[in-house]
Amino acid sequence: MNETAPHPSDWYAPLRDVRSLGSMARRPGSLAGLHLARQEHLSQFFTPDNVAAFMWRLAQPAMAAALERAPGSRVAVFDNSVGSGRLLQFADPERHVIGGADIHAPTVEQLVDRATSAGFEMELRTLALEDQRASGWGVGLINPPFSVHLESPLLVGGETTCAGRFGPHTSAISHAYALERALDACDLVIALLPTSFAATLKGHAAFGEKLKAIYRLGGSVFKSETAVVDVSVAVFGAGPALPVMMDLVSLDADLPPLPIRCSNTHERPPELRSIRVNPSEPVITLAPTGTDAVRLTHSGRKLQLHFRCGLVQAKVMNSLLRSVLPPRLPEEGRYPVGVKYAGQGVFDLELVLAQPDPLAAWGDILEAVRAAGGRPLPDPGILGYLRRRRRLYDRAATPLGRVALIHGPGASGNLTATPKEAIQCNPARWGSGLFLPGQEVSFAYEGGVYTATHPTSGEVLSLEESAFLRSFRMLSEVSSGPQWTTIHDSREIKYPELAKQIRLRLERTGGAAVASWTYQQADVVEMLVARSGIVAFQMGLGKTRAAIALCLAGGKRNLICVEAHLIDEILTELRAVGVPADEYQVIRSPEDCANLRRINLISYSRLRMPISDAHARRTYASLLRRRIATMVCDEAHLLRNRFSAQTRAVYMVSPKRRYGMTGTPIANMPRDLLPQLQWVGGDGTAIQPFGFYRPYLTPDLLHSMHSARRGTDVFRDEHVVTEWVTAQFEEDFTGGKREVPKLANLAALRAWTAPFIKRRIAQEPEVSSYIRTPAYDVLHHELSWDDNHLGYWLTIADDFAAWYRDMRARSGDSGKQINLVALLARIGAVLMAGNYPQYGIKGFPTYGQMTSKQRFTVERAVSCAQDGHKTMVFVENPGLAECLARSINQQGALARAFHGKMSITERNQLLAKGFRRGPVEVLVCTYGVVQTGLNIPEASRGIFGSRAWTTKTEMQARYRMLRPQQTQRCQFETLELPGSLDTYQAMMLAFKQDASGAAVDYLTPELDDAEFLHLDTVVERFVEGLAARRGLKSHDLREKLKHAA
Amino acid sequence: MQHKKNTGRVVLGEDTATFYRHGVSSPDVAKILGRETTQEAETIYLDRRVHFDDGAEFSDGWIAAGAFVTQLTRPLQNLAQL
Repeated sequence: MNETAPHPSDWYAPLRDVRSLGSMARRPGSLAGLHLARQEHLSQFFTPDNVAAFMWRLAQPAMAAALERAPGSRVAVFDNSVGSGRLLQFADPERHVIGGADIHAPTVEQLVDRATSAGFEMELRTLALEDQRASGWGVGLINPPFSVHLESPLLVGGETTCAGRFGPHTSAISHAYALERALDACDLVIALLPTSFAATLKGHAAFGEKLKAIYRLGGSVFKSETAVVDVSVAVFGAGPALPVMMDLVSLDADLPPLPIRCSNTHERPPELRSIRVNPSEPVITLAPTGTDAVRLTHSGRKLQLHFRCGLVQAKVMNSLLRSVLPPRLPEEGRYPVGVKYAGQGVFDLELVLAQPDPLAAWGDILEAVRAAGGRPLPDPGILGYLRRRRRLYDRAATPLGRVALIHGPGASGNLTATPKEAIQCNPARWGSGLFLPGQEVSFAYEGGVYTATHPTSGEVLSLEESAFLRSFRMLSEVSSGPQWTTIHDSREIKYPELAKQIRLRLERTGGAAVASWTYQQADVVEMLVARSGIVAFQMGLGKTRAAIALCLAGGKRNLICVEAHLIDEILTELRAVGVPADEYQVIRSPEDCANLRRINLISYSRLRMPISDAHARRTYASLLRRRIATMVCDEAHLLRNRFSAQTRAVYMVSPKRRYGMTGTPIANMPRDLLPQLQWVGGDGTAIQPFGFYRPYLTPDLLHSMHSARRGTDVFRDEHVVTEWVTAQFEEDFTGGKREVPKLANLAALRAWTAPFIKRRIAQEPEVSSYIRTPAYDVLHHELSWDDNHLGYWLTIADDFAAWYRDMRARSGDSGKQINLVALLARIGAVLMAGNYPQYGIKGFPTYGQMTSKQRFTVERAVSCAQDGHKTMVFVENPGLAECLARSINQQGALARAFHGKMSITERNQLLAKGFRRGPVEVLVCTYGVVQTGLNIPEASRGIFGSRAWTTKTEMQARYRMLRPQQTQRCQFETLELPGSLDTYQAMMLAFKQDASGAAVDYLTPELDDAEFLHLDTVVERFVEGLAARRGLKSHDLREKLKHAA
Repeated sequence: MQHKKNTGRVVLGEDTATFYRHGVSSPDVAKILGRETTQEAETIYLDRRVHFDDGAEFSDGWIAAGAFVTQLTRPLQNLAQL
């Protein structure tokens, strides 16, 4: 074997300057130092060039033969501790595939860069020896780290591995293990090894059979690497042969030919994979100490367990959590956020409080800890906390006193009825009790709910009034006229002693003088019995006074949060009720937050505002956090968007007592109640079970979270009504269900709101003795369309309908929601085309003439003015307000527009000097500026020139006139262009009013069975009706009208 | 609890347990917090949860369970059969 030394390749030249970690390390002075040094330099010593050339020379005959066998193939050369690639430096991209791995990433990266530039096909990775899985390589040229102790569960068991920390075959010495792995991966292995180890190879169980030669190089070859170690080169290959053993004087010495061969890449494809231990973090980091003490503390509702021993922690936590919850099917709904374990309910003290006997439930938890091997050491405060909370919850769960005008069979009592047809107690349950026609059923009636107990099954059938009247025929005589009925007694009756103390406190703090009317004071007392609630007085019944009284009795520092434009009104009220000036302030700067007074006023906009540009996240709310005893949020329905900056700011304050004020707790949809009650009643608590983030809280969750559901899901399923809105949509599957303003499970909803909402209406006997409710009439006018206007409107309505159907189809395909902004813009266009077509609709010609509705509005306003009535006309758009005001002026009545494009000063001046005390006869207002805070009893006529979308908006507009100071009988006129959005809005308002009245005012829902129509259907039915009247087909009429427009 | 057969192999070291699952090349390694032996069974508690399903059976008759951390249990009758 007289191969000449290989020529160094140009591609490798820059890598010769890379120095090994070993060559740069200090020489160790002892065995202990050697160990430390190896940890530092990873036993990385690069193979000297002459030794590398020698080893390459040994492999060359086999490589040449392999290339000859398959022209075009290459030989795959591998080094499992490749370093800077010294042993690969003679490789040629045309003839070799190179591969290797090393634990030292910077060196590998340099090698990869050079090899890539040279055009090699390669597999070079940063991997420790134990992480490598290689196979299919032709030649292995290795200079492994010497004598490094490897300990890993990833080691491949073999002759060189032994038992280690991780079990059998998890420990090895680096050079032996590297050799064994190289032999497994390569046909031919040429390894540089310590001579002491090389001497053991002959006859070695793993290596002896493949050993072909050992060339001892001596101890001086690593001088350039500043190491002195006696090394040998061992050659391994397949097939039996007596190994050659030689001590070499020179690396250029002639060598005998060896019976070695290697495969080329056509014969065996090389592969290098990595394997890693799955990354995971321990959930228990405590050492097992044998201390069984388990301290139980709480942070709010959260129970915390503190361990001293990891093993005890493992046993107790496994025992308490029991099992991981199984995944759910999509139709089963998602688990609430954070719900993962069957037994995690024990960590929520609200669930303990929700038990019939919380202290017994608490004892069970301690017993469970004990049974799992822990010695429970509960914080002494927990029992007190549970007792206090329970007492508080008992009070807070007591319904607030309530009187309502009940239609039907009078107050509470009993009656007998018979089913009109068979009715089952629980239709969802197989075998549920059945009431049959003709059967006499005894019902108990209370609070608008009829309950009967099935004689056999014992099940209770509970029906709301409308459902009862639908399903049963009454047999016993009952009074049927409406009468004021006590639905719930006042809390004062249940807690007389506490109420007495609260009354004394109110006297002492001045609250009694503020809420001076009997019902106001009684209501403030009731609210103070618990720590939260919503004062839902109808407009004008004294919410502001109740708010002031609550604050005066509340604590040292209290906060009233209002809309910015109402600050002055509250200040006026504070002055009027005689609160000393140094006891209240308006928070206008961060300094005001530092010097809080007894009553502090802040606007919602300021509450969420950063205190300065430099502190974007530091808001006024954060300055007030946990410093407020009682917080009163005016217009509490504004909290309905949980994610708005305003709502988040309100939550941030985190006061001890929280009260909301609103005249319209259901400002829009029935679901508006949920966020308000979550703020006052908590997020999934023992008294307010619907969690937003937390589950719907039921006592059984303490024992198993298997049935846990998101509070919002349960609320939606129980109380939100969705319907197919049109038959057309149902048929072509392009539509879908949508929420409609109806109520489901009215009785349950009323029971849920009863402890939180204190409702008062002006007609109540207790209230009416103080408040005179001005009487009013409502006139509705159905107007005729102008043909041109109808054609114009139909063009835009049809465009909307086509767009809507298209969007529904697309959203159905893609599963996405329709873009709400686009939807509102489109509906806005249809609305504008009906109410104010002169404005111009993008993409359509402008309609310049006055519409029939506008003309009628002007006529009526002028007529009312001529009759001596100050008149308010309500519209949506400032432009329309100006337009109508101009027309009214032209007809001879003095009118002024009143809208948000005017400054507040201008508006106040116009209102005071122009309208109230001046000559202006008609005020044409937009809804936006007359919603809250204005008292205009001088006006007695109201014309709704365009309708609003919510009951609240129209009611607020009416209540500007319906003040106690009103001296005339008011009259409101609503106008409708049939088939237009007027009809749709009127229907929407009727449904919303019906739902709100049923939920909040205990009225009997009258539209439960009525069909809620989609806009499409409204338009289509109108055109069909119109066409029929004119003897045309619907389509022809549409076309005719559009051409006319 | 229904036992799931042939989940993989568990190798116990001095203070670690290494799980090699069928069909998964990367093992899981967890620290052993403690061992307990009763008349019926031997139980090992680990510092993390490395099993997917309660009742997963590993080599040598070890059955994994636990919501918070994995606990390996082996009935002593299994041990006698080994």
